[in-house]
Order: sequence, then structure tokens, then C-alpha cells
Amino acid sequence: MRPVDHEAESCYSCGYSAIAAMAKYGENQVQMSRVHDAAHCLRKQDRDKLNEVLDSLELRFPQMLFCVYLGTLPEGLTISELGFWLLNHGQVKGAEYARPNDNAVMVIMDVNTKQVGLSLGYFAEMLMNEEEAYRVLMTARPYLVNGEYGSAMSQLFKRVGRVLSRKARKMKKFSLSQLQMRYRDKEKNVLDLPRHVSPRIFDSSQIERHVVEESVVAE
Amino acid sequence: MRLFRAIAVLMLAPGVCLGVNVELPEWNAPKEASEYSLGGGLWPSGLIPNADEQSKEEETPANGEKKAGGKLANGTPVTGEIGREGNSENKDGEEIAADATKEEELPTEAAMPEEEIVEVLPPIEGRLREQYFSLAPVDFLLDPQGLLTEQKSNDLRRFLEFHSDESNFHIFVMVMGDTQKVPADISLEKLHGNWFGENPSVLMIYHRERPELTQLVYNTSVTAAFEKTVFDRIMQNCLREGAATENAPDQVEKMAVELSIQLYWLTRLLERQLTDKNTASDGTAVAEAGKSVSGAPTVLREDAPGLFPEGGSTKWVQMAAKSIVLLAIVLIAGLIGWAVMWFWRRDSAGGKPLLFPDCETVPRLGGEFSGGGFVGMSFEIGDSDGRFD
Repeated sequence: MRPVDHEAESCYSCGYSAIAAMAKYGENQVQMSRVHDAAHCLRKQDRDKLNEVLDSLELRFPQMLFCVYLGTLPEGLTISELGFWLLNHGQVKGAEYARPNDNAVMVIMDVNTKQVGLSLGYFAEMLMNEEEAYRVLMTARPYLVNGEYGSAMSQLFKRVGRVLSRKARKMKKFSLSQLQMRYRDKEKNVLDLPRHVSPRIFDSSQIERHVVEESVVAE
Repeated sequence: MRLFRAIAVLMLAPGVCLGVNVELPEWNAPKEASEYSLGGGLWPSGLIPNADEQSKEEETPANGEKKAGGKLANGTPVTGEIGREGNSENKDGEEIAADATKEEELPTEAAMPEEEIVEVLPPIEGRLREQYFSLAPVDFLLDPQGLLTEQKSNDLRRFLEFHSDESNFHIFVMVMGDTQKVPADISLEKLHGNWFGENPSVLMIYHRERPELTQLVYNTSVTAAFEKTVFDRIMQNCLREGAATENAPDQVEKMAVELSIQLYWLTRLLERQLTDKNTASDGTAVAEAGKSVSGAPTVLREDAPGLFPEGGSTKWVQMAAKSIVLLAIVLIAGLIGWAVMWFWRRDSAGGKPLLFPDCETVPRLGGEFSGGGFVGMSFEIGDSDGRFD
């Protein structure tokens, strides 16, 4: 994760943004299931076991959304970009309103490149930092190396549950205002620029302009 | 007419019967009974004193009916049948009657006045005192007054010699009368020291038919080496054996046997202490070692539990204390286990629902729900870390 200012519309180093993602993956909304096995690498018992773990997690954390995307990505697509785009354009069945996407913890795995990652929504980023997310991934690594994807996902989400539980215990000690203060201090504007009042709403003209600019740069 | 005849016959019949003499059986003549001899035929008649006189007395007229219906001195009625069972030579009931009359003449035990023979023994003074206390005993049994029977004395003496052959702990038994006492100016411990020195020996002073007055005198080193309870228990065991009988010779014999058994274990305990003493580098005194190892002779306690007193109440208290400690350990272990489990499961997914407070989020990179927060990892085998962001 590169340091990006909270209000930046694009990455300062590479220029990546939601517009770039939309140009690459499409601007449409997609619907996905909680366990989206596009790579067909989960057996039924693995899927059932993983669904049990996700059910228990959803009972434990009624606000959070847990989902998995297992796929075989073509060349040129990265799982970080896909995670970014899926969280902003995907809708998980059965969790439309109760669990918004900014509360999502999405696991994305590319079987071709043997990469796995955690994409976090805005709210989930508050609950899990980079180190914790990395430890969560490391929990599943032995299973992933052995090709036991189902067990890997189950262990990974169990560990996510522990991290979130610990965070919840810590957050009980603070009031809401204190939490807001802590979050603001954490996300303090490095460049001392004003905040966005509301999320940006893109229109198709912006995307087309971005695509043209990208093609020009490429040429 | 017929009726008249029948009545006449019935009236005359008793008179006819009374007029006839019927022969009835008779008792034998008393001459045959006088030939009976008390020896039953086993001994000549002259051997039994007064047998002839008794037989003459028996020749005096004896009414068979009276004798047969007589009673013995103790009041038991004697019949002819019973008499025959009691005396095989009886032919008729006359002999039985003779015996019954004879026993009537003899004084019964109940009738005899009970006279307690009280043997007044002199106090232990003068020559008797010298016999008891002047010289060290050569024999293991010291009974100058001859209070024990000769046979029992020999038996006891042989037993004590046998014990001395088998054990280094000798037993000397001193027998006194029940009313006699050890002179007040004589210290038995001192006397024991003078007589036996350091040779392990026990002087048992037994008062005839009064085992409760028995005294056991040990070597000073032995008494110093063990707790008093050990010797108390030995004494109790001896007294228990002595109280099993009322006969003085039997009492002293049983007590000596019990004392021998107890001394066997005491000897083993002493040997153990000696080995402990030899192995101990600091060279503590035997007495101190003996006292300090009051809990040490575990083996001997197991071998001879009777030698080592263990109070019932303290035993129960110890058992209760052990049980309580065990229960406390189990409870503590359970609590620790429960705490560990609680600590381990408190962050698991099986707990109560957790709600996070809603916080204001700030979008970035134009993303509505996610700003590209991502942590990735490669699980390629060659890639050890595989971390990438």
C-alpha cells in the first residue's frame, strides 16, 4: 500500500485512481456471492466449512462484510486493482444494506500468479492495520502452499475474527468522540489540505477523458 | 332274667379278682449289689481306700423304691435309667441309690466355705533385697522367691535364653509379689546402667498377677534415641498381652514373648539409625539423629505399625488436610484452565456479537467504499516472504 493522501484523486507516484480502475475493469456494478470461486478451486466440503466460518463471523460482527474472490486472473490484471474495483463496484448477495462495502474484508486470490491479498473497505481499514493484515495472510500461507485453499481461507478468516475481536475490546475503552479523534489523528492530512465534503461522483465523460489521456501517454 | 345274670356277674368279678394271687416281678436281693467294686474292675479292690467299708455300708438294707427315687446332692433327681447311664456296672437301680446316698454324705462345693489363700509376702528387705538387687543377674529370669511354677520358670528361662541367642537386645525378667515394691532408694535406671552398661538390654519387673505394675527399664542411650511414644507403645502391647490371662505364669510368659517381638523391631530401628549415622557426613549424635528421624523410619513403620503410635484423630486430620489440599489443587487447576480457555476463546468467533462504533470515513482515490487498502502476499514456494503491497 503506497502512501496516498486521503483526499488525493489519484496516486501521486503512478496516477492510479478509481477512474483508471473503471477504465480497465468497467464502470458497471457486478454482483458476487460471499464465496466467489471463479477458479473452481474449492471442494464442496471446503466451501461448506468456509461458509460455516463466515456465518459465525457474521454473527459475531453484524456490521462487517466478509467475502472471498478466488479467480484465475489474466495477465495485466493485479489482485490489488481487482480488490479496489470489486469493493467499489461489487455487491455481495444478501448483504446489500446491512453490510456496506466499506465494512468489507475481502480476500482475493489469484491461482495463476499464486498471490493472495486482503482488500479492505474504509471502515475495515480502521479496524485492521497493515501488520495485522499481513499476519492474517501468513496464517494461511502454509495451507496455500500445499494447495489447501479451503482450509487456508477458513484459517485466514478465523484469524481475521480474532483481530477484529481484539480491536473491539480496545475500542470499548474509548468513547465515540475519542475514537473519531484518534482516527482523525491517524488520517491527518500530511499536506494540510482541506477534506472532501463528500465522496466524488464520477461521470462517464471523466472516464473517457482519462482513457484518452492514458492512451496518449502510452503512445 | 338275662339282665339279672349279667348284673350279678359284673358285681362278683372284682371280688374274684382280689382273691387270686398274681405273681409280680421283684427286685433282686441286695447281696449281689455288695459285690460291686468302685474300681470298675480295673483295679484290685484293696487298692481303693475304704472301698470295703463303703461296700459294707452299702450292704445295709436299702429300699429299692426309695433309692431309685432319690436325689443327688445337687438336687438332680436320679432314676434307674439315668443311673445306668452314669454307671456302667449298674444292673439295677440299687447301685444308683447307693451312689446317691454316698454323694449326699459328701460336702458339696457350694456348701464348702471359700477361703482365699492370701500369701503374705515379706517386703523386699534384707536378704531378699540382696537377692534381688545386690548382684547383676546371671540368669535371665530372676525369681528368688519362687513365685512362678517350676515348669513355667523353666519354659520362660528357655525362651529368654533363646531370645538372647537370636537378638542382641537381652531381656531380664524380675518377678516380685503383687504387694512387694522396689525399694524407694533403688533407682532402676541407675541399677540398669550398673548392671548392663551399654549392652542393650531390658529389665522387666513383673509383679505377680498385677501386670499393670510392670516396669520396663531400657538403656539410657536407647531411651534417648527414640521418642517416648515408642516405649509407651511397647509397654501397651506387653500389657495387652499380659491382660489376656489371669494366671501369673502365663502373664509373664506372654508379656516376655510380646516384649521379644517388640524388641526385634526396636533393634532394626537401631540398626537403621546406625547406618544413617555412618552415612551422615556431619556426624550428628545418635540421639539427635534418632529424634530428628522421628518421621524417617518409614520402612519400619510399614513393617511394624504397632510399634509406632499414630493417633487416630491426627490421622484423620492429616487425611482431611490432604483431601482439602488436593481439592484446592484441583480447583485451582480448573480455574486456571477456565481462565486460559476464556482468554483463548474471548477473541474467537463464537462469542457474543460485537458492534463497532460508526466512524466517519474519508474516501480517497475516488473510491466510494474502498480507497485501495490492500495487503498482498505471494504463496509461491520459492518466494520466502512474498509480501507485496
